[in-house]
Amino acid sequence: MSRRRKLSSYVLMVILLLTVLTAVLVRAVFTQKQPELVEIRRRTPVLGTYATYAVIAQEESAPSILGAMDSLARHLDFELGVFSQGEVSILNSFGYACTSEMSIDLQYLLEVSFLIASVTDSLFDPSIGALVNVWGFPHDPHIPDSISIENALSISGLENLIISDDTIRLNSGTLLDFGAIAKGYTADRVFDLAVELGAYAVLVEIGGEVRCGGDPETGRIWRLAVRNPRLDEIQEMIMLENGAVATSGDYESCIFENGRRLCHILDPRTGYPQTGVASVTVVADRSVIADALATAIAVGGTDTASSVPDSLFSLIIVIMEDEAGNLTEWRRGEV
Amino acid sequence: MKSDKDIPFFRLTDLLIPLIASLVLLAIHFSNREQDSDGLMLVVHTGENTEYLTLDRDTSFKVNGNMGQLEIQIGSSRARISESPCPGQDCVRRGWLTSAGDLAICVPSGVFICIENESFEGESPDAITY
Repeated sequence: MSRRRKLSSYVLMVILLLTVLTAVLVRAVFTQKQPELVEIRRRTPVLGTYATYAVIAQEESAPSILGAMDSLARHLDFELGVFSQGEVSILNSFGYACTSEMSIDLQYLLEVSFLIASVTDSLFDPSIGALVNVWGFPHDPHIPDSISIENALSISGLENLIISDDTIRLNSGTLLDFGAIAKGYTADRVFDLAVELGAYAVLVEIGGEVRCGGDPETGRIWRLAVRNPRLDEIQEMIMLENGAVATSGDYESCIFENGRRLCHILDPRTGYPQTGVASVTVVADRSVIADALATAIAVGGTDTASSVPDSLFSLIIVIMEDEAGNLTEWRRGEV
Repeated sequence: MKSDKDIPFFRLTDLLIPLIASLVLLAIHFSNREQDSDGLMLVVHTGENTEYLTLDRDTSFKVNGNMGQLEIQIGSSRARISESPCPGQDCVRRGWLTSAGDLAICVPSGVFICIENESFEGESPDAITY
């Protein structure tokens, strides 16, 4: 009898201990410290304009992620710019480069350039560096004489890039200028780096070209405002969880001649600034594609916008301006 | 005539008094919230940081831009870039910003200001594509 009582008291003790242990375990699991996420921002000059970075990441790693993003943007600014002594400048100076020694950045930019040129009837053309120089954009814009324009046009065009097995060669005088996609490409690269470094959600905006996205669990929907090309106010708001938006407008870096606006977006067919399109906004998966398409459509207008393959974008907004200054909106696709 | 005994100590209609009082208090509370939501604020983005300012007090101040200092003026619940070192002066010509969504951008300086609705801060854009 006494043994049975002893046994039952042991069993009770074991049950009690197990209960306590379970309670401790449950408490430990449910009160485990969740990572503290913060959203921090930085605005900084880069690529001749300003960049905005917003990062949602763990509190301790967010500042270092922002620092790394900034460093990469500055590196690409140096390598891809035409005013520095980076890779593109060296290629322009020497006129040739070995593809095996070429950075993945330049290789990718060339690939995208050929792709977008092929779907826009060569209206996107990064080989118009000589033409851009003749017009003096962006630092000293002025109206050049027609002979200078014709000369510059004669050495422009992607056919002046000769790519053999392991060499890329520029015809004499041909200059590359990736100004139309460098901001978009840098936004993509900086975004990718931030995600690799552990950011939960990221927004990168460089000179108006935006790449954003991240882990859907953060639930961050990015609000991207499209600027009205004439009124300096918000035209519309685009809500994006993941993707890119780029805009090309005739209001940036332009000069006026007898009341006529001459913008920095040059038509590679004529050598003169495009007219009739006030702004083009493109929403796509990657900023580099959106940026390149926005430039080509700004030149080609709605004809080009109509012919771009669906797979390259999700939304195109073209705002046209007639000679009387009336604006008309045209759009294709949706977000 | 009814005696005191006939009058019940508590009637269901007695609930009406606190109910009406509660409704009045709630109405006052929400009407005040509505008034607050009309408050506008000025957001100043510079190359260095982003500042949020109320438009309640008339003032002017300078911010650092890419090309030097810009002067921003707040007056009569409006705001504008009043001076800029940029060559085009488009930002100055933009004039007064008066309602939520209005913005003035000085691209050479890398500075832009916009008016946002204070109570809808969460709805202000994360970035502007231009």
